[in-house]
Amino acid sequence: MKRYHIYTKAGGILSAVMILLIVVAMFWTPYDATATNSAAKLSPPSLAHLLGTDNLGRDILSRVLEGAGTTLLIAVLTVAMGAVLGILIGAFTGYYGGPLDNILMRICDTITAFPSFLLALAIVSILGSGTYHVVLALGLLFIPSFARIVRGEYARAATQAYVDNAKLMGAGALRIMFVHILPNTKSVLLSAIAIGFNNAVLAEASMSYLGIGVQPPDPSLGRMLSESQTYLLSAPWYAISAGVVIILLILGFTLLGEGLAKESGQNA
Amino acid sequence: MRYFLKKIISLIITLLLVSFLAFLTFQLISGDPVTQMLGTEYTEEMAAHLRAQLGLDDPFPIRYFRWLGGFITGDFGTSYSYNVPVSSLLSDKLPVTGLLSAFSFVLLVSISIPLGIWLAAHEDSIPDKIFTALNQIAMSIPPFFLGIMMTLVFGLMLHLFVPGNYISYQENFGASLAYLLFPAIAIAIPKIAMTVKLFKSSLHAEYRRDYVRTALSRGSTRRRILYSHVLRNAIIPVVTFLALTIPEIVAGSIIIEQVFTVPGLGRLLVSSILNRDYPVVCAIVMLIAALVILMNFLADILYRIIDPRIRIDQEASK
Repeated sequence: MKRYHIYTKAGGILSAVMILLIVVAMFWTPYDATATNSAAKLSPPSLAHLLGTDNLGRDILSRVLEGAGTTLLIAVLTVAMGAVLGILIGAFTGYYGGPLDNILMRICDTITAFPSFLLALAIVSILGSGTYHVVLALGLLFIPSFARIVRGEYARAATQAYVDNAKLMGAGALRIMFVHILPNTKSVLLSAIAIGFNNAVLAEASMSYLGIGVQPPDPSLGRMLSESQTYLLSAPWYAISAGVVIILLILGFTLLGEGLAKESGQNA
Repeated sequence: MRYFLKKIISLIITLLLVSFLAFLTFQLISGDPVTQMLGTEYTEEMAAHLRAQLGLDDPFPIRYFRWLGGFITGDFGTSYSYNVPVSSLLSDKLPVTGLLSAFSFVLLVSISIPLGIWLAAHEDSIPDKIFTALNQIAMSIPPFFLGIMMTLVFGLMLHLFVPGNYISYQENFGASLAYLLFPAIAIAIPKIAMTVKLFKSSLHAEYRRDYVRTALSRGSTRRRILYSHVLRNAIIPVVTFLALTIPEIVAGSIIIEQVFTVPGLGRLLVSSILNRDYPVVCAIVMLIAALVILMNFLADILYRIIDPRIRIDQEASK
């Protein structure tokens, strides 16, 4: 029985609970997230509305869960895009090496040095805002960090005995790369994915908060926070609910990422 | 010396590369600025005239070098939406963001270094345990949410400052700094959490080195070992990390300015993105890009200056 690090357990449970709530909210929410109710504007948390209502009388719990759904969708898509392309680039450059490897890694280093949120803003400023443009911008920016991690693993694996054995047995380069080496990068890759989720959630929330990310009618936690600022004193539960959901999402993924990194013996 | 020369050449190449990419994205892909400047009602002659005036008919390399030359001499082009030179827009906003970032950085350094040392010296004490738990949460709080909560508690409930009432630094420097205190804290807290965490693990690793055991066996106190040996070695990665957080702090202030309605670069950037005012967006992105590249360069250089072992290792391996 494998023993998990306490961070992995705590982060795993927290993330699982959040994802479960979000999935449930896709099919059922206590109220219709877009239904306005002029009789119950800005009402504080109560049994009828667990997290209160907003300025249009919409149920905040329902809205927060739907917003978290958008955030999670963006996170999944961006991380998938970054991971798949990053693995491909990292695998080829790491396995073969050479001048192309040097150039690509230089470019990756330069891109990862930038605050990713800022580059995403620059890209979105050209593409225009909207959910899928945010995904595209963030996904592009996540490629280098994955590529770099995977490259390191492949460069190390390429000199190991099991790879030599596979070569002697006549396995092709592609087979060695994706059947033999890839499973060995699992632990490092998993922690990178968890950290990628965390970055994606933060970047999406920041962009939507600034009004440059997800656009109405898509629900978004970042935009809820920016709307809630107008009613900060009269309805603090509005801002707090949206913010705490973001924190819980990020906390879960960070703990998971760090726990996995510790298990695989990295110094993260 | 050869090392520095090599570093400087690679710095210049990176800067050129980034400027070329920025030019490519903002000048070419962003579409025809003429139709944006003229609005919906214009004639073909007006458009052609303006295009010639802006030099948009020239071949691509000429446009790039003219743009780059302008950039180096501080001419960032003309804003589409305000119709004034971008540099005059920036000169108002840059000091505000600079002040906020510098303030935040000073807070970061002056809190995280002593705190890290203190916590390392009192390992496993109750404050250390509390801090470790809080640290993880502090790193997960988005700075802009922290800013909103600070507005609520310190601004609206305790009336320590009036949200939205930023006082210009030219008018009253002290009052301006006082208003920027809370935004600066909001940016600094997650960074402090990260720095202390890195510093503590660096100190911890250094304490496990053989020379510490030797020094202890010879009767040195832990405190003496900390200050005369361990600290010097353990602080090296922290200094590098701090140099690299500067661009992150500037990027963070872009969002925080929105929360506290501070009229800096961030608010200009956001409104320019929404208005598709590309010259302004491009100038701001280029400025921050240059900052990132310079800070990376500085971190490399600092690393070698504070740790002679690296210098010797690299020279020996040549």
